[in-house]
Amino acid sequence: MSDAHAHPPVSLYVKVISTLTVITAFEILLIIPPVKVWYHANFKALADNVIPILLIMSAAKFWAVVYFFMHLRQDHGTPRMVFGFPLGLAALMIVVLMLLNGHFVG
Amino acid sequence: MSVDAHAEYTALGIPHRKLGFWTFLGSECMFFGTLIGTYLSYRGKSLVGPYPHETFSVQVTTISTFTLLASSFFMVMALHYVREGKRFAAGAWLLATATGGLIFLGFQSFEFTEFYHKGLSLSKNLYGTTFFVLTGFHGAHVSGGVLWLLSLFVMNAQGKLPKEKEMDVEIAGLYWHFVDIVWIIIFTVVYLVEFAQ
Repeated sequence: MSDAHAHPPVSLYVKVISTLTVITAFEILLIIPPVKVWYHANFKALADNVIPILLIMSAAKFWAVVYFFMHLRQDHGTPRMVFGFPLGLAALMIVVLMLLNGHFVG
Repeated sequence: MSVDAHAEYTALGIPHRKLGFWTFLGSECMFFGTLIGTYLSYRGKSLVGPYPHETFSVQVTTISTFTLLASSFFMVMALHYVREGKRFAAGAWLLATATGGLIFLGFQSFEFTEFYHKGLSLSKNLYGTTFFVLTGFHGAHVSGGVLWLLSLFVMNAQGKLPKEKEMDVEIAGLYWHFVDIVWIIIFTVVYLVEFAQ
């Protein structure tokens, strides 16, 4: 029952938004042309897997907003099911379409 | 009365409105999942230009992304202060959230206008159709959220948003965070993947 939960402190929200900002900055860094040229020349593994890495960072940001800002960590049970099941289906569909259309290739 | 008149619990342990809204957000996941899926299915299949790499501007999208992300933080702060019964602070954060949404919409209008000047329209090619439908529906959701937030701001200014009505702000917050997470996915799948390839 949501009202019975202790409300999270402001410091938690600050930590979450700081983390989200850092992840987003890193995402942008990966697509800046000089940086892209540099890691393509020096880090083949990163160059080959840049799109899955971007998707994982995006999923981490998504999870952080849902879990901390939307308070799904407190609203467990039914809300997790009614939101999580269609979310899982949509995510599966997106990943399958990316695989089918070869969008994972960096 | 020992029971709080505002507390409304169900057998599932969650207020009806909140459960209903989570269910609505679940349906919205499928809605946007379908739009993103359509964009991905037709990606790279346009027979005539302009193409994504000719139109996208990473600078504009980056700024609008950070703005929407920050507005999610402003929203949790607004809810925090409504729960604490601090009316002025709650109003300020609600206004900041709505302003973040308006800035995002301003950047989106700018982007759409730029794309149009570059020859891209809804009916120009598959990219134009799928891109404008996806981002247009997201923008419409942001517009709805801004109106919702501004109405809460006015209610708060009139003293009609005491801490007993925190659920009103919490549900608006769920909606606002949802438009933010949808953008997190659109930003990666539509923009970042394009630049990374």
